[in-house]
Amino acid sequence: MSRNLEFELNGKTCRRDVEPNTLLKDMLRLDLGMTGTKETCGEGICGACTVLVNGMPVRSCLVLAMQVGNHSVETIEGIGNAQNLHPLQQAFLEHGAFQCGWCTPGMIMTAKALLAANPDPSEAEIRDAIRGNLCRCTGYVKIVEAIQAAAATARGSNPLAQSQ
Amino acid sequence: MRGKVMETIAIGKNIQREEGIGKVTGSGKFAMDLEMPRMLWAKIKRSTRPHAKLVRVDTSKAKALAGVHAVIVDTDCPQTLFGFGCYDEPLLARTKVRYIGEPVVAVAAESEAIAEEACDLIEIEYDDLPAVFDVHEAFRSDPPTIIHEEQAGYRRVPIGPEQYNPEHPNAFGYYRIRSGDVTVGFEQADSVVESTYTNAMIAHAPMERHNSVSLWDGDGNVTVWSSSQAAYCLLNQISEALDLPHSKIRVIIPKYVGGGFGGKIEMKSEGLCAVLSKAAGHRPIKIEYTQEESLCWAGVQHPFEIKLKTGVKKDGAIVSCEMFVLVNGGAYAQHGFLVTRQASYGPLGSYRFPNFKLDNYVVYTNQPPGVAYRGFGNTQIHWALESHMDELAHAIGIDPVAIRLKNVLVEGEINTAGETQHSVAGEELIREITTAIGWGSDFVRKDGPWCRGRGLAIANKDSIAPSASTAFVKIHNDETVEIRHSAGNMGQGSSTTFIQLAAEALQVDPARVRTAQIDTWVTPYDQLSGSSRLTFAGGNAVLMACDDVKLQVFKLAAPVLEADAGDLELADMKVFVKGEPERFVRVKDLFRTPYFTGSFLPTGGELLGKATFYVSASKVDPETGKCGDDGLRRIFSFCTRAAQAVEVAVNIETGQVRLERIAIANDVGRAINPMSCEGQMHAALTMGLGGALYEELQLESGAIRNADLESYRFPTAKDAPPNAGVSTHIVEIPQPDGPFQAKGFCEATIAPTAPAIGNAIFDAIGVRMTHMPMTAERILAAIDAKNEAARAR
Amino acid sequence: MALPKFDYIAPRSLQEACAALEAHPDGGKLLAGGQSIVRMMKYRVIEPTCLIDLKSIPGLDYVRMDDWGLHIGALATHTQVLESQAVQREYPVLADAEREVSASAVRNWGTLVGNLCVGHAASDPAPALLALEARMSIIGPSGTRTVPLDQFFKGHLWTDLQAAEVVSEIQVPKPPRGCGMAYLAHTGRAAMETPLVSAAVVLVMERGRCVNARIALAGSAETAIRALGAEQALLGMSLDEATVAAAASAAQEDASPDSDVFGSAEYRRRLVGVYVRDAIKLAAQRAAV
Repeated sequence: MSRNLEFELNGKTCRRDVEPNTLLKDMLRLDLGMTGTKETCGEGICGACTVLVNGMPVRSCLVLAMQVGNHSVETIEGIGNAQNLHPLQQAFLEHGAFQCGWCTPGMIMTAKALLAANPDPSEAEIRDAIRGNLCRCTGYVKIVEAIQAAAATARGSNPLAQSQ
Repeated sequence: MRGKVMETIAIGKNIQREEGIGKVTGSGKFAMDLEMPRMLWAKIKRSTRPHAKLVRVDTSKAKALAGVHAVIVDTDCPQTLFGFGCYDEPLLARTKVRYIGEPVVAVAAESEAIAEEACDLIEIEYDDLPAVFDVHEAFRSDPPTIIHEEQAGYRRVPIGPEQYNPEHPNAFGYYRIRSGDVTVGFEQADSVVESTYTNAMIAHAPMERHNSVSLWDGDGNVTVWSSSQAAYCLLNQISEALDLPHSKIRVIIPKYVGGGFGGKIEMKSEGLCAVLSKAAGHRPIKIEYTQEESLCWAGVQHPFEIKLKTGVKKDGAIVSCEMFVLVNGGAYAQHGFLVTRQASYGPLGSYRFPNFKLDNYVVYTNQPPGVAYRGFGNTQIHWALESHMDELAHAIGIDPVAIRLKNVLVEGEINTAGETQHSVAGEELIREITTAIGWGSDFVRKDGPWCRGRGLAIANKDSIAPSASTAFVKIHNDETVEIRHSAGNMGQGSSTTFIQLAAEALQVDPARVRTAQIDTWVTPYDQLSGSSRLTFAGGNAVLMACDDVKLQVFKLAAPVLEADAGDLELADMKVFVKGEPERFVRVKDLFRTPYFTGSFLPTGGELLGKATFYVSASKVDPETGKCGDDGLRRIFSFCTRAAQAVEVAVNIETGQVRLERIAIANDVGRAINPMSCEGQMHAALTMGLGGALYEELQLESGAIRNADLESYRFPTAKDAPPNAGVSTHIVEIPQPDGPFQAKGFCEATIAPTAPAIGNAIFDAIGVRMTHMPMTAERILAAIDAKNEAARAR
Repeated sequence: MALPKFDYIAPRSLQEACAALEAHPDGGKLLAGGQSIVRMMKYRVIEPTCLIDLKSIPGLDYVRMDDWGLHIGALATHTQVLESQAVQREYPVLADAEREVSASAVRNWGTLVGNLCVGHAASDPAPALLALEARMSIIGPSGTRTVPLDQFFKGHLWTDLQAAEVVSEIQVPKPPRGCGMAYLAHTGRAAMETPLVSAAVVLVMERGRCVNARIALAGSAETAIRALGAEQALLGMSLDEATVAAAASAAQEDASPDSDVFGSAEYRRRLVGVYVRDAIKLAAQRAAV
C-alpha cells in the first residue's frame, strides 16, 4: 500500500507516492529518473549510492524512501550542471579524478559534505572521509588532489596550479 | 620523459576528458541507466551443483506467476555453442551443468522482484556427477571426470599447436615455446633455482555491474545495449549463439561504461535476453547482474600454477629456463586458450633467454569460467617470474637490480621468440624507479613490530596481432569533427585520446572534436577494447581516416582555390595553399547552398574519411612458438613495459603489510595525454595492490564463499599510501609505427605490483611468498614456518 | 536487490512501537537506521512482514550525561555518539570504537542501539561498551527492565530482547576516576571491514598496580565478550611485560573464535594475544598513576 511522501529534493519540494519497500536509491533512479546516483554493491559498502540527507552522506541503497519524509535530500544532479559546475565537479574534471566515472557522483557528494564540515582538510582527513567510497580505477591519487584543489578554491586560494 | 620534438596543439596536453561533464554531473547515461518503454526484467536461475546431469527442470509454477512473461530453457534456444575460438558453451545448460552458477533457466517479468520470485519457484533436479576443482586432478590422463566429453569434436580456431590432447582429456588449450636446449643450458649454469608460484582466482569487480538491454523485434532484428568493451566481438557471439547473420544484429554501447578490465569482452547474457525478448512478445529485456553474479559468474581471472627452473651464471646472466604452467580454466573455454598463448610469451618480452622451454596447458575444471582479465595472463606470469628473478639474484649473491639490468632486452634486439623488440624501455624504467625509491640508500628497517623492505619488479604486455581497426572521421558543416569508432572507453580515456590525435592531425581545437556513441550501424569494425591496443590500432586508424578526409577536403577546395589538391594544407578548418596562407577557403564555406536549399556539399555526399589500420603478424612455428626471419619478425603489435619499486612495512606479529612508497614507471611510446597516463598507472594502487594483498574468490567445492564487496576486498582510499609516497614516471621511447609514436600500456600497469611487494617482503623479513594474494594470515604463517625451520636447525 | 513487500507502521512513541510489535508477533521487526536490517532483508536472512519504523519518533536521538553517567537514546546515530563532547571527553574508548565503524554515510544513519541489537560479534562499539560496563534499558509489555550488556548478548545474532520489547536507551556508568582506556581493532584492509578481532580495555592504576580492569573482545567468540581471565590476570599486579603477556595469554584462553572467509580461528586467537597486550599497554599509559 503506497504512502504519501513529501521531502525537499535539491532545494525543491517533492511529493511522491511510494511503497514502503522502495529504497531511496530506487525512488531516485527508477521513479524520478535521476540516474546520477549509482549503485554497485547494494549493501552499503561501496558508496556508489551516496547522497546527502540534511547535508550528511547516507547510503541510498539502504535507506527506505519513507524515511526521508520532511528531510532534505541532495543528489549529484542538484549541486551543479554543465553550465554551472560545482567547484568539486570542476576540480574532478581538471585533475582527471575519475576514469570510468561510476564512483564519481558518490565520491563528490561525500567530498561536498566533508568540505562543508572541514574546509581545510589534511590528506589523511580526506582519505578517511572517502574511505567508504570504493574506486576500482583511479587508485585515489587524483581524487585526493581534486578534493584538495576544490577546498583551496572554496577557501579562495588555489596554490595547486594545473600542470600542462 | 624524453625531450619533445615539436610544438603540438593536442598531443602531450592534459585535455579534459570528453565524457567528463557527463561523469561529474551524473548526467551521462550508462547502460544501467537505460530504460525503455515496455521493458521487462530478466533473472537467471543458476545451477547449484558443480557437475550434474539435469534430470528435471520444472518451470510450471514460474510461468504461472502473475507478471511473468517468459520462462525459457535450453530447448527454447537455438541449439548452438558459442565461444571465443573454442566453441563449447550453450546459452543455457543443455543436458548437464558444469559449474555452480551456470545458467539453467531465464525468466522475464515485469519487475526485478517478480523475476526473482519466479526463479525461486523453478524446481531443478540434479543427478550429481563427480566434480573436479583441482587443476592437477583435472589434468590427469585419467581424471575423476571428463567435463566436456565432446571436446574432440568442438569447432575451433587454430592458433598454434594442436589444442586438443586425448592424453589430457580436460585440457582445452596448449602452448609451447622451444628455443635452444635447456638441458645443455642448465649444465652451463653456475646456479639453478626451482620454484612454484600460484595465484588465486580473482574478479574484475567493475563498479558498473554487468548489464544489458536486448530486443528481438518483430522484423527479426536483434538490438542490444550493453555495458561492453567489445561491440563487434559481442555482435559476432550473438550471431553465433542465435544463429543469425551479422546483418540482423545491432550492438550499441553507451559512451559511459563503468569499468571493464577485460570482464566485459565476451558475451554475457545479451544473446540469452534476446531469446527472452522474442519469447516475451518482442519486448526489451533488461538484465542487471547482481553483485554475486558480477563477481563470480561473469568471468574471473584464471588461477595459474607456474613452475620455473632457471639457471644463471655467476654474473647474473640467464642461461636456461624451463617453465611448466597449468591454468585452471573453469568450466568453459571463453578466452582461456588465448590467455595461455599470450601469457607464454610474457617472459620473452622482458629478458633474454639463450635456452628456453615452456609448456602451458589450460584445463577445464568445474569452477566458474576464467576470461580475459587486465594483463591476459601476464599478471600471473610476472608474479612468478619477477619473484623468481629475486630468488636467482639471492642465489648468486647479486643485487636484484643488477640481475635485471644484466638480462633485460634492449632496443632492436631479437628476443627468444624471434621478434624484433621495438620501443624497449627496459633499462630506463628500472633506472627511473630505483632512483625514485632511493634504491641502495639507507632507511629505517625496524619500527616496533614493523619491518621495512624494498623490492622491485618489471613486467611487460604484448598487444595482440593481427589487429584491425577501422575509423570514420566526419567533418560537419559547422567545422566540428566527429570520430566514429567502435572501441569503447571504459574509463581509460580512449575517446579523448582519439580526439587529441584527430585534433592534431587536422590542426583544430580538441574542443571541436567529438566521438560518436558506439553503434554497429554507424561505427565501423574494431576488434575490441582490450589488449592495450586502442591508442595504437584505433589511434592509427583515426589518423589514417583524418588523412582520407583531408584528401576529400582538398579535392573540393582545389577548384575553389584554383590550385592543385596536392598543394593544399588544412589548419583551423582553413584550407590554404602551402606557403601562401592568405590564399584560403574555410571548410564551412565549402558547404555552399546549391540550387537545393540547405548547407550541403554542392555535389552532395559528405566529408567522411574512412580507413582501416591493420597490423599483420608473422607466422609462428607451432612446435617452437617462434617466428622466423620473414622480414617482419612480429608476433604481436607492440610490447609495453612497466616497472615498479616499493617500500613496504611488514608487521611480524600480525602479518599485515603496509605499502608506504611506490614508484610506478611505464613506457608509453609517446604520452598523448600525460594526466590520463598517470591515472592509468595509478591502477597499481587498486588492482595491482588488491591482487597482491587482498583479493581472492574463496572457493569451496566449486562454490564461492565471499561474493560481496565486504568479503571480496579491494583497496580503499586508506589502503593506498599518501600521495607523497607515490611517484609516477612516464617514459617515452618512440613506438616507430604508433600514432605520433605512441602505444598502449594500461595492462602492464598492474603486473609489477605483486612481485615488487613480494620482493620487498623478502627484503624486510626474509620470507618468500609464493601465492598471491599475500594476505596477513598467510604471511604470518610463513613467518612462523621460517622461525620453526630456524629452531629445528 | 529489491526488498520484498512488507507492512509499514510509523509509531509515534516507543510504547506504540511495543504495541505494534505485540500486534505482529511473527513477522514484525523494528527499523531504525536500517543499515543492518535492510542489508539482511536484501539477502533474505530475515523476512519481516511488517516493519515498525522508529526513525521519526522525536526526542530519541539524545546523547547526554548526568551525575550517574551517559545515556544514549535508541535513535542516536553512530555519528551523534562519536561527535558528542561528553563521549569524547569521558568515554574515549567508545569514541575510538565508533570512529572505526564502516563509513560516515553508515554512521550518519545507522544507530548504535541498532548495531548492538543485531548481536554480531564483529561490532566495534560492542566491546567498548562491555568494557565500560554498559547496560541496556528495555521497555516492553511488562514494563521496563535493565540488562547488563554482557547478558544482553546471548549468541550469534541473538540478544536478550524478548517479544514486543524495544531498547529505549544504553546506560553507561561514569568510568572509574583516573582510568585509562584503549580500543584497538584488526582489520584486513584499513577501512570498510568489521573487526576481525578487537580489544577494548578500561583500567585503573593505584600506586603502580592495577586495581580495576575491564577487557572486552570482538570477533573472538559467538558474541562480543568480556575477557574475564585476562582481567583477573591484571588485578593487583604492576603491569610489567610478564603480567601483560600473561593477561594476553589469558585473553587467548577466554576467546573461542570461529573460522570464516575473513580469517581462521587460529589466526584470530593469535591476534587476540597481540591486541590485548597492546590495548592494555596503551590504556595503562593513559591511566593516572
